[in-house]
Amino acid sequence: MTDNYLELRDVRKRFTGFVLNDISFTLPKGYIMGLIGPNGAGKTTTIQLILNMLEKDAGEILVFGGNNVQNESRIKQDVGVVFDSSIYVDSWTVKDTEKAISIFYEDWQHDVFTDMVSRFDLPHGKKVSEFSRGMQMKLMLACAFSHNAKLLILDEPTSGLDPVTRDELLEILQDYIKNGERSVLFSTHITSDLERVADYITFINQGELFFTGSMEELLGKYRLIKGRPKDLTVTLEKSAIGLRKTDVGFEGLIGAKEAAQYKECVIDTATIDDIVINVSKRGQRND
Amino acid sequence: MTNSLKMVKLDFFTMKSQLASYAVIVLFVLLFGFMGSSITLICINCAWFVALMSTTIFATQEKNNLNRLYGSLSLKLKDIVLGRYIFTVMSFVLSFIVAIVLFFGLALFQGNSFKLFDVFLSFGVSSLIFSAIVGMQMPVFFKMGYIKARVWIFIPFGGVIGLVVLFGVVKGLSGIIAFMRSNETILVISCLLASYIIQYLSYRVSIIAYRKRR
Repeated sequence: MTDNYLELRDVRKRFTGFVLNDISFTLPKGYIMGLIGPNGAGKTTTIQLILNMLEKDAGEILVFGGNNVQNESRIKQDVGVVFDSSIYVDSWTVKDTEKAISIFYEDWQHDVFTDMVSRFDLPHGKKVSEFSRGMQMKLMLACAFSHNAKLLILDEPTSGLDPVTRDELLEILQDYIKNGERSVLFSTHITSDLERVADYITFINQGELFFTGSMEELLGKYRLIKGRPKDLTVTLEKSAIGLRKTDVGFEGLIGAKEAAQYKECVIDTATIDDIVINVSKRGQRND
Repeated sequence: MTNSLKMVKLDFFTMKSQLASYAVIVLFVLLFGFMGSSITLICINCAWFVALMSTTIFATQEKNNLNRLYGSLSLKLKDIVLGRYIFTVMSFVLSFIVAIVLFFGLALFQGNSFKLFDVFLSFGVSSLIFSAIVGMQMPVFFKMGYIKARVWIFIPFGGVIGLVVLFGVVKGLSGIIAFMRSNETILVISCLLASYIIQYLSYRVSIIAYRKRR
């Protein structure tokens, strides 16, 4: 099997009023990639294209080195998916869910499912509709782990979860990839989660790829710049991304290399959140 | 097990909590049986009922956003569509068997006589009506989803009623009916053949409709 579990090359999808344009990124085996961007950026569309839930207009998607459309059935045997809310029928119990889902997987392990259900403390008697969001997410994870998925795709799994459950999920993900044979594509807009677990980041903004690469590369590339109104030069105004001006000063994002020349300003390291917020405001493409 | 059959099983699990509603057929057969209705009439009414019930799976799919589940499973688009058709036809066939067994049980209990050929005749006619309704409904549901398509639910029923009226009014067509009545074996074979053709065409259209929806 290839060392890249996921490869997107110039993937394009056009809708009325929105275009996902030339998205390319690579997720190697054994790593977690965060897929970030504001709401409506194209994260879910990208995931739906990977899963062949939508037909792409152009480009190529390779999962485990194979074309995602031609090898769809084979590929999905090794892919686990977790969405932001339950994908199971409301009236199902844990047992019903296993019965309904297990038939689709050649490598379904009942013992693993039982262990995961116990570990996650999922109630057997309750219906899925009576589960909390955290429980619903854990049930999807239990199913993904029970067929030994090598690639886990999570679409906003932490939205609506309390911090304790989110923390628990991050621990599960770190545990999941530790043998080096599994990867995770994790779409979220809660970027603080990614700072803890992600190795790679792909940032999509308004349907365009803004950045893809390692987390260190992204964080090392930008700085947060703050200053008084008099420090805001024309050059700085042009080069700053997502500049916010007030009567008492300004704040924005700037390239790390340029930051050194503005000694009179306050230069801070930027978090992923800072980068996402500032870039989203400007909607600028990275060069 | 092929993926389409797995989809049938998934549809069965999806509808599990609502299968009890099919018990209406039992009451229905018993009531009409006691009233002395013919088996053909009872089976036609069963076909109407099951055709109406077959929309429920689309409602459940939409309510639970099951497209995401289908997208995560080892299922191709044609497996989903074919599985849904098999599930719907199976619902009809099982309902028909239940109706027949109940009807003949009742006939035995009441000491009434019955012809075995009536079973084939009832199956042929009711399956044609069922296929005509479902064959029109399914592509619309695959294309639009339940909420947008629900206004269409009763249109196929109206279409079938319209066809029946048309056969009664147009003289040339009533001749066909008279011929069929006198050649019941041909009628049964024609109904089953027409049912198959309708279902097959409907299935092909549904695949195109569902693909376009993506």
